[in-house]
Amino acid sequence: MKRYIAIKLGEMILVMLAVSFIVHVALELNVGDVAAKVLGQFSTAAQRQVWLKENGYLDPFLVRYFRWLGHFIVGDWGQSLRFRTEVISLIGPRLAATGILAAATLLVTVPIALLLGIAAGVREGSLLDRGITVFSVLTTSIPEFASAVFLSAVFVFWLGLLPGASTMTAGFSPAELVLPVMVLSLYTAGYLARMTRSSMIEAMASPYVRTAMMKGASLPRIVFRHALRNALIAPITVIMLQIPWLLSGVIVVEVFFAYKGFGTLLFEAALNSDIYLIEACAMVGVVVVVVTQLISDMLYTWLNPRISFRDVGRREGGA
Amino acid sequence: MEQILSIENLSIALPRGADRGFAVDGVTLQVARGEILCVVGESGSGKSVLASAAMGALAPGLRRTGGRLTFQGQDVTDLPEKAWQKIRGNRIAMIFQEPMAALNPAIPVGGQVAEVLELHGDLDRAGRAARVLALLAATHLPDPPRIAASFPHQLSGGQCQRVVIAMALAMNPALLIADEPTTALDVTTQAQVLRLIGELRDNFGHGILFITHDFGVVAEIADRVAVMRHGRLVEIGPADQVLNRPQDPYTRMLIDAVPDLHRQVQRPSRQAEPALRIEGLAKTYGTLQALKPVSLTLRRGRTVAIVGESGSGKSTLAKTVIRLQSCSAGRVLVDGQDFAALSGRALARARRRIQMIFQDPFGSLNPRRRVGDIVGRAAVLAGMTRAEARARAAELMELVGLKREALDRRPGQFSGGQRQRIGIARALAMSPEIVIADESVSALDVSVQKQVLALIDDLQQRLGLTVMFITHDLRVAAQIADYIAVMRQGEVVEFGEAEALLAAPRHDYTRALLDAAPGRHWSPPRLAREA
Amino acid sequence: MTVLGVLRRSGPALIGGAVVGVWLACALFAPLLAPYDPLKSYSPLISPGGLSPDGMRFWLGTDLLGRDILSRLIHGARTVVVWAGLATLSAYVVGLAAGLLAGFYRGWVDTVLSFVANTVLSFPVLVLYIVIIVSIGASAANIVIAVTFASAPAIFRIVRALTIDLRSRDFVAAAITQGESDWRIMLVEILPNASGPLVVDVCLRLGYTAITIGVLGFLGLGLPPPTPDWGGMINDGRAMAIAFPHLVVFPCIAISSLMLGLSLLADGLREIANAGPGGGEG
Repeated sequence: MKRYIAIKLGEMILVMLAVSFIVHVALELNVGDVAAKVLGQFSTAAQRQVWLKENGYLDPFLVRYFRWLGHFIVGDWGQSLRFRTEVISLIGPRLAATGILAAATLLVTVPIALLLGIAAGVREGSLLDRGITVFSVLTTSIPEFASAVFLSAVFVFWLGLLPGASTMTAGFSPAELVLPVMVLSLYTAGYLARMTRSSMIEAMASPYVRTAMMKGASLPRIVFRHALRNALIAPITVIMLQIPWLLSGVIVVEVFFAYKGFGTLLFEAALNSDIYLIEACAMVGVVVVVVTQLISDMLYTWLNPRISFRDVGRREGGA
Repeated sequence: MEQILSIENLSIALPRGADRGFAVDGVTLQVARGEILCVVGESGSGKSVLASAAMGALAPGLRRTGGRLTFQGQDVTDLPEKAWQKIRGNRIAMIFQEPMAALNPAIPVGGQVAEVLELHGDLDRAGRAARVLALLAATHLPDPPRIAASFPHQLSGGQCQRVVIAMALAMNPALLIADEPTTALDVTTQAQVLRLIGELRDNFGHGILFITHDFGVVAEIADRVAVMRHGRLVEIGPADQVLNRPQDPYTRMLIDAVPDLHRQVQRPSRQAEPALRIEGLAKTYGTLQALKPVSLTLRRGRTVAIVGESGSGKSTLAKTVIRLQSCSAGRVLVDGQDFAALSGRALARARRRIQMIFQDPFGSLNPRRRVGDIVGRAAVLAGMTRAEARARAAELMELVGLKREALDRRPGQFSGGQRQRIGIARALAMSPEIVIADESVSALDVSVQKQVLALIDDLQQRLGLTVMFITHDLRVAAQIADYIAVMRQGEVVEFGEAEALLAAPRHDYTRALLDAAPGRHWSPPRLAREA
Repeated sequence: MTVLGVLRRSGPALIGGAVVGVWLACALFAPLLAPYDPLKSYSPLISPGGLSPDGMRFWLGTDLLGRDILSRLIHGARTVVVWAGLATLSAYVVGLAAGLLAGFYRGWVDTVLSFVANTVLSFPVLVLYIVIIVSIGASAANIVIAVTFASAPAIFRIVRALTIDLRSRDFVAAAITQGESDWRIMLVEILPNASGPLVVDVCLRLGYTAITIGVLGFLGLGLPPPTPDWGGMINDGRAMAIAFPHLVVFPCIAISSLMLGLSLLADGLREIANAGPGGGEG
């Protein structure tokens, strides 16, 4: 177990190095733009050149990369070009805001999706099952920006029930959280319900469920005592693995509703080639991804007595 | 005698679109207290559907269209599900084919046994726990408290089957239904489980409905035998009568196809020069020694059967010899050339000399390619034109007893036996000197198995092939081999001429294997020849 | 076996196929089907079904610049089909080749390729797109590059897993014992047998790519204006969406229906493959 976590952490550091390098390479392609963005479009070429030199942008690429790396490791994450402030102080509150959004989404999604998935999976082919399947195909087919548009049209334009933006300028407002959470939940719930359904169907068709039936167990007993625990292994693992995916959706939703979270921060950083901010966000992103993977693996082991930690490390990374 | 279960004229319809109308077609039979009735048949005979019907639990899509089911004098034909729940596990219990899969992987096995008591009995928690331990002990499981706390994956297949049996015995049911309970087990484990089931009949007087495809098992355990084919009962009677003096032509054909452990046929002289010499061949995976240094000589035109249980290293030996995996040490000499040391083009060229016939007739042919392309490919590789290759493929089809028209079809359109013939044709297409058959008949029904064995034997005589035949089945080995090598834990423990080895085994393990072979005292009568 | 013959065996596949077919037809015959010039300005902000002052009817209304929304949607289908198709194809070429090699040879090839794939995948996809597009600029070709970079690893994983499974089949072992070359085994024995799941994945991935192009358009990183592009239309109309929902609702319906069609098609094809006969292996 300790060994396994150590391996995972090593992997994480390796991935962080690779990702930070890739980001540096990608941004290297338009270094000239940076000065233009900082000094404004009316600055002269000479002014830009001076700025670039002063800020070390004209040093060789690798030198700049390792200089950044050295600073990053000791906790000096640099200055944001756009916000003119310490990167490190920017990230915290934004991450917390997104955390609230994500937590609310999971809180809404998980119980609904599991319930729907189980209900559909227990009786494959029933009316309920077909209804739930249609629901999940629909919600997983509508991209976040489209459902944001549809839901805004209904709740803001027609019904006038909810605010159309979630800037939270007047302090935290639960009403402003409703639409973003709804949009994010719709997709995730559909996906998770589908997953749970197929997992449940598989469990219900397994030999051990037949065994339980041949013992004389009733259907509710079969479902709750025998099928459920095994059927939940896949969906619960998936919930965790969905988090990086959720992050992509979060960007769209945050931008759409002008919610000041990690997603908008990253988006603005990217638009402005704000390299230190992008790097910091990317590193935080990698940590989130790897940590969720780790938690997912631990849940998997806990739920599935057949797998020991030694095996988890070797588990195929198949899709 | 007290009849426990009585099935009268039972018919069960298959869903529309199936290859026949009925899974079970007008079957009548009885099971009495204290007897084992074996229902035997090939795949698709409807024997497993019959078993589920007796539990009142037909698979979705199946429907009873006629007949009556009486259990202990009570008509249970149209019993509602709630009432069946009171019977299942309580008065009728079932033992399954895949013991490991039949147990819930997430619950300790003790809890799974206790669940039966919880559902049907009136014992309190402590009473149930004590009873579980007693049941586990009754099925001869060592250290019952430890077993009860274990998850299924921590137990062996044989132990899992004992747990399943303990579960079935929990309420001391009148009727036990066993659906191929030993098919997934190794032969020595199978022998122990069969002995246990025999004890249940003798000591507790359970009536047992035993579904199997294996006549050896039937001979070992049955009091009476029912033979099924295409959903119909073709013959039923006392074991001795059905096994030794069968009346129905289908039963006669089936029994005639069962290989005899005590072979009477004499083979011609056994002296021949070596075709393949395996010297000190070893294979290790990490710290696991799958194959300890093995040395073996195969003589030209002769068959060596490699016999062993699962994990004995027999398949590893085959795969290592044919270079599907590399060896850790040793040599494989074909005509003085070390096959194990070749690489690149030399290896590709030499590969045609050793070919393989695989176990699973459904996995060994590429479903996307036409049979003509599969079989003709060898000729193309040898440099022939397409037309020549096709002619060669047609020749090979006839050689293995298939029609030329088969060339234009895809593997999906053939039965298991036919596919195995195509697999043989593919191997022969390379004109090999040595053929390795890896469990090549174990996935086939006994009547098809007989034909394929006869084909391999015939081709060997005609083409002078050297055959290495990997099998877990001593009967098959006895049927086909000139020499037998017995393997255990990666080692050859005994090697010798087949008859001598079978008649007078020298190694303890060989003796144990022979003792465990089900129905070893029964010689299937050779009826076709008499007729 | 005709395409229609296969689709007929599953309701979802038929419906999905029809929806996708409609959009394909729009893409192919856009100039014939579109009632107006997608780039020409008529009269701004006409509501759906309304008339312009000179008596022309606009079924889905016009946008801020007075362009016909219906015509822009129909021409936008062409943009999506072409660029999503190309991007998916390019991602597949890379993912397929790498997946086959890694799954067939395992060992260090697999270790290296898998590490690269995992690195790319441990990055929220959209961030990756944004970073790439921002640094190399927003153009159709760059979108193809970005999509290839971001989705090839996912394809790689699927192909790799399928290859590892098929590699262990006996018919591959038979080909090895016949002395067949590695590339022939990969292309003739393994790839055709992986095609079932891959066709399903292609459908879904086309949809994801279409959505990605839409998202990039929505974020203002899509195809440069005035190209008719669904995502771009949403972005343009967003500011006015509260007063004029038709500006954004119709492009959203367009992209959702395309994705829905593709997922139904994928579901149906999976169903057909599982149901057996006709599709090769039973």
